[in-house]
Amino acid sequence: MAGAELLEVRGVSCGYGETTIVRDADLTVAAGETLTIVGPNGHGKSTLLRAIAGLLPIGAGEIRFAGERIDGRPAEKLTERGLICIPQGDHLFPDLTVEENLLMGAFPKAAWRGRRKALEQVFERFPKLRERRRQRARSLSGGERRMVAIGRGLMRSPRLLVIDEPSLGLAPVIVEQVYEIVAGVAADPQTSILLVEENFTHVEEVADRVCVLEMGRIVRTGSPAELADDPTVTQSYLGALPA
Amino acid sequence: MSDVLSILVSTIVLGSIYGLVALGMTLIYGILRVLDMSQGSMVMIGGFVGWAVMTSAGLSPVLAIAAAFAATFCFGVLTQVVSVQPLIGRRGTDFEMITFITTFAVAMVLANLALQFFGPRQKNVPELVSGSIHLYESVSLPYQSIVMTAVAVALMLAFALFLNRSRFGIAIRAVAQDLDAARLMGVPIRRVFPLVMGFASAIAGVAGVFLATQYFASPTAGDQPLLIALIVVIFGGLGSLQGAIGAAYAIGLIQAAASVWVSTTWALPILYGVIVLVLVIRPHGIAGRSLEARL
Repeated sequence: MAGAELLEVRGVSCGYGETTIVRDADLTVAAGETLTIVGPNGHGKSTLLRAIAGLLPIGAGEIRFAGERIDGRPAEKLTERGLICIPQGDHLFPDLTVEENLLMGAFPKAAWRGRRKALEQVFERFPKLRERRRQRARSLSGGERRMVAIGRGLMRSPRLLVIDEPSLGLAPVIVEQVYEIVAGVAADPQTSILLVEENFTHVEEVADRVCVLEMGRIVRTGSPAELADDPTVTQSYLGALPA
Repeated sequence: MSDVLSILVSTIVLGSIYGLVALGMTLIYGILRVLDMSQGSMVMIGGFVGWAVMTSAGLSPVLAIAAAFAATFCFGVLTQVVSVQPLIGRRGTDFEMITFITTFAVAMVLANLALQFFGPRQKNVPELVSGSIHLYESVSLPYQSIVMTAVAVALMLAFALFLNRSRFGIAIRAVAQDLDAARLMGVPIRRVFPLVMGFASAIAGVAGVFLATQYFASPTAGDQPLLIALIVVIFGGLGSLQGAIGAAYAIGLIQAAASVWVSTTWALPILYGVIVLVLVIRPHGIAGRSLEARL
């Protein structure tokens, strides 16, 4: 059982400077699984993801990827092992073209060799980006930017794709499209997904399991169906303090 | 007619050399946000390497340029590791201001080391190639100028190609635009920073060989080029490569025109006057982008 876990987070606390934001978090993502973390804004979801991606040092606990300790390793090393993070707000390179942005997704040497093929696959998934390939990223619409961000993450066959709020700031129609794409990636047994979302609406379509993160702690874990009916989850969003 | 021709000739030569030094400063500012005051020292070191290889050892100018490139590359990497890298990510410090001072300190140390080793006297460096083409009346075009311009333009084109086409080049621009995202892509930023400063310094070193053949090699040979490069870089809009190269030729043109039509004594005062005027009207330089502009 334990051998099948791709990502293991055990007792992790992290934050910025003196402020601890996430406390004693435990979660696992099995190979091929899609795990979603939901929770209100400002409760530590992105902080936990930044720690997993290696952008933020952790104060306590341990993080393992494919059995190996990865906490303390910098982000630029993790990406070579197939732990790929699509950050909140896309973080595109604004003055690079769409194509150059995507190519940066294939930066590690091994991926660079297969960049033409990977680019072709991304363009097949997002035909709009093929039309816009020579445009600077800063000139794109919000939905197109999200597509570039996701496409960039897919440029080097990820083992674990970490996605931070893919629906953030997008029109409902575009959110539908984004989730169709996420569902497509989730269906691939080679790729596990760790997804963070503020609300529940689309999570049910893609998630195998859901964690609820509240006040920096993971308070519930279960299947989407279980959690949708759970009154404590509703309370989290209404701001009621747990008894 | 012959006035215009000689202005054109010196514009191209001056502009190319200024362009080399400004290209390095722009790269460093665009990527590291460091206004690197040690770039003048790299010009100075390049000049001394050129003198050592050509005059002392009597070897070929090609070797001198290669040696200057290699030596200043190493000095650039060293300068970055010593005076910039330890300051990256320090909280509560003004990174731009502090590195401005630390790189200036490095420049002082290097100038005094040069004084110690080579003495205060100016050293003559021979021409790279002798001879010239007669163009028109009293105007002639030395082969030396053609070679310098060709090498300078080739270096600038090579860098443009490198930044636009290669894996590492695109990554360097990516680092300049979004550091965290570049790390998430796997770009080894700890190696990118010293490399950028090494390459930028190496270009300044090559410019140093050229300038030494026009003037001299001396411990203070980098001061004037540093000042000009600062002006070019600010004039071009800090951090904009096209702006810097355009500004380099514009400044070469102003200097050349003032020398020919007014006098060489007035060339620099006129140049500075024009720059002050332009900056008062367009504070972000001729490229017109704001200070936030990235490569």
